[in-house]
Amino acid sequence: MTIRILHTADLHLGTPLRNFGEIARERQRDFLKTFDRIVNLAIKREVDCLVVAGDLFDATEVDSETVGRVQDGFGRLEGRGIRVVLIPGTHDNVVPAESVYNRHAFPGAAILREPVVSEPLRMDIRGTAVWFYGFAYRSDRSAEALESMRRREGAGIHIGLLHGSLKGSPEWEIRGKDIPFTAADLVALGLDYIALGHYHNSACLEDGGRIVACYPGSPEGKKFGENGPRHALVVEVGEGEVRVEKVPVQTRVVDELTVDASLFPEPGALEAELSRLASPDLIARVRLCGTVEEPVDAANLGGRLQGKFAWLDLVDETDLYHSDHVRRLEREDSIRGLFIRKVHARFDRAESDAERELCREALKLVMGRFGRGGVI
Amino acid sequence: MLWITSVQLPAFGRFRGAEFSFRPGMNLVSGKNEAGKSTLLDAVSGTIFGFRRDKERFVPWDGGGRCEARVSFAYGDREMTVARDFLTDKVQAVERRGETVTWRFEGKVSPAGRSSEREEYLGKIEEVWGFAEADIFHNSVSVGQRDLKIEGGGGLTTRIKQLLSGYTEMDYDAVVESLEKELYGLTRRPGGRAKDRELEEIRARMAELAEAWRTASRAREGLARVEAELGELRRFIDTARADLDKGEKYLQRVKRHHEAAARETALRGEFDRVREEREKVAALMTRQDEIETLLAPFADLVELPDGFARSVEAYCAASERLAHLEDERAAFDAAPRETARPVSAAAVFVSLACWAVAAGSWFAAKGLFYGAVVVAAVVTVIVALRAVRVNQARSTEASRRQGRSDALGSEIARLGAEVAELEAALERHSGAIDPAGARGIIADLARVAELKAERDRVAAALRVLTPFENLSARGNELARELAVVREIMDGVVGAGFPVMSHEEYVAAEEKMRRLEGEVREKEKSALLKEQELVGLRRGGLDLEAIAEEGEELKSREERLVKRVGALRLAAELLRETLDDYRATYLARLSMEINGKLFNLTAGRYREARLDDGFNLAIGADGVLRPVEFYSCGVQDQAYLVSRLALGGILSRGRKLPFFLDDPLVNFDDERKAAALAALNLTAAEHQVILFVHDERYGKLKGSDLWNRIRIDAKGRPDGQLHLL
Repeated sequence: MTIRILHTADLHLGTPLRNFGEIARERQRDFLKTFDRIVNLAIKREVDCLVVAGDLFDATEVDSETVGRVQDGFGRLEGRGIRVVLIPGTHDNVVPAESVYNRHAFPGAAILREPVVSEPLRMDIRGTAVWFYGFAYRSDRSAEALESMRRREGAGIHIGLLHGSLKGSPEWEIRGKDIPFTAADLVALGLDYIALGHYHNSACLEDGGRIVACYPGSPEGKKFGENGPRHALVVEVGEGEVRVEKVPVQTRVVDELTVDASLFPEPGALEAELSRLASPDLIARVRLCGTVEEPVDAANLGGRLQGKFAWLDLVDETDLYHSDHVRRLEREDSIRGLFIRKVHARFDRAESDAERELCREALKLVMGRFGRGGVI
Repeated sequence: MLWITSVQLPAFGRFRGAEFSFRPGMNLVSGKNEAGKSTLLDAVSGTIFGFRRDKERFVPWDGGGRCEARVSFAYGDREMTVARDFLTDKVQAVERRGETVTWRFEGKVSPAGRSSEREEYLGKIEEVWGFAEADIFHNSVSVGQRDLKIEGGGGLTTRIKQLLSGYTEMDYDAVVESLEKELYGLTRRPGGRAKDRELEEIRARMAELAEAWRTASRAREGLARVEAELGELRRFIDTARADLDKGEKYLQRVKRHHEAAARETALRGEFDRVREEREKVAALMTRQDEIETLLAPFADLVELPDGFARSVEAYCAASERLAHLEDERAAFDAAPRETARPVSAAAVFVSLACWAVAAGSWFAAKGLFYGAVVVAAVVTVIVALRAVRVNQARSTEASRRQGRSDALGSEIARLGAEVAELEAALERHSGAIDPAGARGIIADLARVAELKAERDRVAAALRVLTPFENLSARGNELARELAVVREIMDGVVGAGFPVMSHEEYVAAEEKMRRLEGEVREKEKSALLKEQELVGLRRGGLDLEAIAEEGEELKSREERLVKRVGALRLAAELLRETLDDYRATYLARLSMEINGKLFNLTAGRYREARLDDGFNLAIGADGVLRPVEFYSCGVQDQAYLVSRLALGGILSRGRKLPFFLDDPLVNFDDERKAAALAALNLTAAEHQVILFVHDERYGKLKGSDLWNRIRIDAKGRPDGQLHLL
């Protein structure tokens, strides 16, 4: 007997998304659309259960409209007989009195909100007992909480929900280390499948060829680094067997691209190349690199291309310093020639990469301004 | 000297297959407006140096997809021809010495591109021209249509600054200003009092966030602590409440037990009392029955009237009195009469003897005589008195005996009558009776009376006492109640349940009250802790959100700090550059200008000086005045001189051709003449190519010595004059 669950986490509904500037509002709507898409996917794939492994919301306090959308989504699932099991995460934790889970009811969803698992939640799904182990994040209880997920006696399928940090993951160094665990820790819990959340990139942990746990990743890129298609996982879980299918659910793709501007020296060629990469559904951070002969007017270029992307963050990391043009100008007896020589001298004296970087930037600033008639 | 020998334009702008030849010295290219003079000039710089932008504007409308130009120039004993396909930026260059090819190049030379072949080409151009940048070409040897329209107000100074910058349209002041403007937009000047800029705002927000983080962290720690304390309190309260509950129940049971025990005692007392009373009633009732049994033989007597006993008693008493009186009379009658004893002879003898003694004393002892007479007299008196009294008693006794005999007779008569009467009365109730039988009846009656009295007492007692049946019922009821109470006691207490004493109960109750007080205190503390928790939980706990915003701000700050650092460094280096430039080049440029000024003005002005602000002052005989003080013609000359001087410096001393694109168009004749004179003089050392739209230039004095080229309206050379 197997059951089918849709596993998602880290939806971060209601996130302010300040880093997306003027499209922050639009992105917030994207997140809600993605939530709806997940609900629809659950219905379409006729899953038995939707499992949300934390951070459904981005904060403990959430605006009513967002709450309403979630209530509606859960209501639709309930109408189709699809159970929802969720745990609060680090962002939407239940510690504050105003926490969304303290203030609002979510009919149709079982919220595992105790700080440790005293008894697993039992559900009977198509005649099979399914046990859900999960706890709400509390910074001071994580060790005992993890231990409390150890499999209990009872026939059926045992599924864990865990919002925590996998040691050794690429995200370990860059993200919070709440509820740390290793793959071995998870294996030791003895559960049939553990639905993970917290880290935003998709990954599955295996033990001897058997999938033990998966991070579905954030279903919508919250910031640069959460690049490419985002997924929810359709997981078939039986006793001791797991099959995972990744299904893209994102509304828009966040991506980071690097373009070697030196390959497009012709006027307009760089713009054409960036236009080729553009898509209305792409939120891109494009880093321009390479040694260029002319300072790139990134602000102007970004402005021209903005409309072709959902959002574009154009970062000029080109190197003018080592260009032949600059090298030639350096020999000039003009002010700019002398300036370049000064930059060079300063560059050679520099004791750190940061100083050298400053020299390169200063050169670009001045050369760009001379070239553009003083326009920043 | 370097001079342009020819320009071929197979397809460039409006030119299709045009070819222009030039020669050293003065070249005059004339043509109407829009004939293509500026295009020809652009073709020269574009072919050699390339276009950084806007090259599309030179693609012929009908060029068949071509845009090409070829320029040849000679220097020393060599000539170089550069051909450029502007659509692909492919360049072919050949340098010849006579018929010998000394250098050949073919490759792509895009001004913005990067390639080693490009560098080879540009290196060669730099070697020949002294520079390889179109900007320098335009700043030094090319004078555009508007270049000489420098009208007062420091215009010339500005232009010189632009030229010195190396860029065609930008002077370093504007760049410095722009850097500072941006810098000012990002951050306050160090020590400045202006309002916060972006960087300060970000830092302020970061400080706020750091504080919020600390607060939230503290709150979280506090939360954990308070929750632990609260948990402890709740555990205590729960345990204590459970204990209290248990204790309360226990005490309730004990209390009920005690109550039941008290009730049992009361019931038992009542039961005992009832039992005693019942026993008493039963005894009385038994006695009553016994009395009835005892009275049964005296049934007749019992029925006698109440006074019957007294009548029998009276009869018996009267009969007995009568008998007694009759016996007394018989005895009285039979008894001798008592008489008083007469005075004894002894007494009379004694009295006589006394007297004899008195008479003898008279004789014998006269002294005793008198005493003996007195004693004899007294004794004689006493004996006489005695004799009197006996006589009296004998008379009284006789009377008394008579009276007594009479009294007895009458009393006996009265009693006889009374006895007869009583006897008659008694005989009516009990038949014949005699005094002896009557005495037996009296005894029986006394017994009956006694029994009846006892019976009455018993009956009275029974009346007062609760009826036996009631007592029995009550007794049974109490027995039942007792049984119930015992059952309750057993039920409350249970088997093996230790029953505390009352003292222990009181002590336990006291302990419970104390515990309850403690629990209430703990509950108060818990309530306070809960309030504290509510306070701690109220907002500001979103560490994740704070951390995210903090990260975001940090990266923005880093970017800004980097930007600010770069801007500061740029401004600093640029200012330093200017200072150094002044120190290094100002004198040199002044000298260059000086030398050329003398030539160009035919010795009229021989001195020129650039001050630190690149303001040009010229004059003669040691009197220098700012160039703005002079006429426009002089200013033009000064400007031309500056351009030539700058060209000299920027080309590192090379004598490059000088291109002028109708710079004199707005000049009056006098100014024009002065400029042309200057150009003529310049032409001695530099090739001068002057583009004009006014064909009258060709008729000016001396122009016949010039290489004159006309461009027709179709952009073709219109015949050339080669006078030299």
